[in-house]
Amino acid sequence: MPANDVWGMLREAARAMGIGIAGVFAVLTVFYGALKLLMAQGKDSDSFN
Amino acid sequence: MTAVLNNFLEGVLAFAEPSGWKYALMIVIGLGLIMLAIAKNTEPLLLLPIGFGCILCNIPLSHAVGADGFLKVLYDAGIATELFPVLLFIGIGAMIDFGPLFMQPVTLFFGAAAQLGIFVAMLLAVGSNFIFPEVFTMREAAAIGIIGAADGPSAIFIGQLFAPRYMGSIMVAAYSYMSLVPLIQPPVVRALTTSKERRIRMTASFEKHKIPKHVRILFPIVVTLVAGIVAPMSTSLIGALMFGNLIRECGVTEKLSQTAQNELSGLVTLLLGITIGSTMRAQDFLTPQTALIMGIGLLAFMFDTAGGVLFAKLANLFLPEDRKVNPMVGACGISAFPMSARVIQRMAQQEDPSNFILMPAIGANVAGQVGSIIAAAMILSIFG
Repeated sequence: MPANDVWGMLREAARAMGIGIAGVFAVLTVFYGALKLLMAQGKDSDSFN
Repeated sequence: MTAVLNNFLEGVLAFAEPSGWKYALMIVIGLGLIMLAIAKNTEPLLLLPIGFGCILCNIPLSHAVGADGFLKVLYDAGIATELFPVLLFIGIGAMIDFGPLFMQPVTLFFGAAAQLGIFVAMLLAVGSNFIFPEVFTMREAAAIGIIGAADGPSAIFIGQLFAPRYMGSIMVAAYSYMSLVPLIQPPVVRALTTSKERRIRMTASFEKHKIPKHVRILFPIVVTLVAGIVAPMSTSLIGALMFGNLIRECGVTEKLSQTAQNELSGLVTLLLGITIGSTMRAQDFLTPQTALIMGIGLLAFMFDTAGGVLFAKLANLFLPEDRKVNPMVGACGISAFPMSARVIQRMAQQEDPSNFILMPAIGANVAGQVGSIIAAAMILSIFG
């Protein structure tokens, strides 16, 4: 992409914004699920303690 | 004797050259940073080494930044290789207690929402090409956006890869605004919340249970595996952070944990600060681009705050009355830890002296640490 194609760069930045925000939420949602699972198991047992 | 005299005169006369005033101004800026660190106690561990590095590299004919200068050696060894930020993350990981996050996992999402500023800043940096043609490339705009991560090591990591010529400006913006969080966040939070919202209490879920040790141990391992698999470019950053956290939480490496928290992070901060300072050379720093980067960086922090607060307000639309979150906690989703949490707790107590939201605020704040690294990984994946 030529450096002076600002509209093209803006489109690319907007696309990156969409992917980036969705990606961060997706990854943190996986962490959330994992954490809920770990905490749920922790209610019944505390094997390391 | 004559050679010594000549060297002395060369050094002095360099200030009289047409661009000599720039060196003098940068030395004054370096002194200003040192003064801020000592007199105002503003981020002294960073600003003092940065200020001194700034002075060292702006002494005309300075050998400290020459081909064999020690600052150049440090830059090549620690910044160009990305080693310093990664080592610093080990120290940060060893300092972080994820407990408040475990007690209310939903605060993780504030750590995602408050990364909005990164992407808005990137758009703004790209948009500034309309006014100043070809001022920033796409990758440079992404590196400027990462100021919004409010996270020094991530900014160094991305800045070095995508915008080495603006490293000094990006670093100064990132660290300055992190220290200015108490001034930046409150007006934005007040503008987006009502007094009633700022008085919402959210203590209930923090008194229910203690955190099992195996959760504390498994969390850093699971996060590293998940992040490494879905966003491989984040492996070194998130891996270092979580490794530091694992040696803290496992209970059998107390010595390593203490070393990471104290000696390692102290040593790396020292070397990192003075090396970053050495990138503030007059010819690179005193440019319109620096002013632009500082302005965009400030907006990045403001949009981060707004993103977190607005997301919390959105979440409240769906939460039952007894589980509503104080939207101010959303603002803590930025990575400036623990300053943001303290600022928000202070604001909550200004509204209601008996309201205590520090724990959820810290939960969101440590989530911001994780969120900012994942956002950095996204930027790396997209533009790397």
